[in-house]
Amino acid sequence: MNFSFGEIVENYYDDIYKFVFLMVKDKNDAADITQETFLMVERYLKSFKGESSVKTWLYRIASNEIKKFYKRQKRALKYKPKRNEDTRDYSDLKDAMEKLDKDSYEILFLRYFKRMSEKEIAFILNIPEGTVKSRLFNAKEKLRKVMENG
Amino acid sequence: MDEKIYSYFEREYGKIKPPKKLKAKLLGREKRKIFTLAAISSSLFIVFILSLIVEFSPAFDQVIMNINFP
Repeated sequence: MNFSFGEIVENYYDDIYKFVFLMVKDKNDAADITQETFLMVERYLKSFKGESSVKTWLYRIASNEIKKFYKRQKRALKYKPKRNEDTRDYSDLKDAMEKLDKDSYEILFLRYFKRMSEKEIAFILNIPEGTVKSRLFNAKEKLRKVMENG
Repeated sequence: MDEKIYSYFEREYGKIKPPKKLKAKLLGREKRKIFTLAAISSSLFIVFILSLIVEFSPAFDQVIMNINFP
């Protein structure tokens, strides 16, 4: 299971960039964070012992870089509603999703879009599996409430 | 609810176009590294071969003997 840096970039660049972009909602910030993520990958690739899959390891690094970014910026997830091209139902869902806090948004992405297991998510976010379960439950509850209240 | 969440991410994810320049830049880093490593290895190999030639070729004995250090 040895990957070169080039193979990792070839296989995972798009996924990581898209994940970062969804989290920060800005092209330039997403590019900077993606670059930082891959520089970290390059630096630590030799010490990667395969305790997780390469994919989850990459998501963990990217998630940490996103956290560092928000710490530096001290700002919340940007919310830029763009209603014109969406149907009403989809706009409501999109509004509700983008009103969620960053942690809830991230965990829903990993679980319901990337179909990652709770164990993988626990590794990526560096939290216990029990916390993953409770965060998932809370995130869905928040989403439900936001959608009900508009 | 799960399907709604999935459909939201599927739609938003599909809209994102990762910049090709950044990917090329990241891949270029590895190519540069390989090129540098190859250049250093080749240089060391050439120096090694030249030192062998100087060491074992009698033609160079006279040259070496005539080198004057200040």
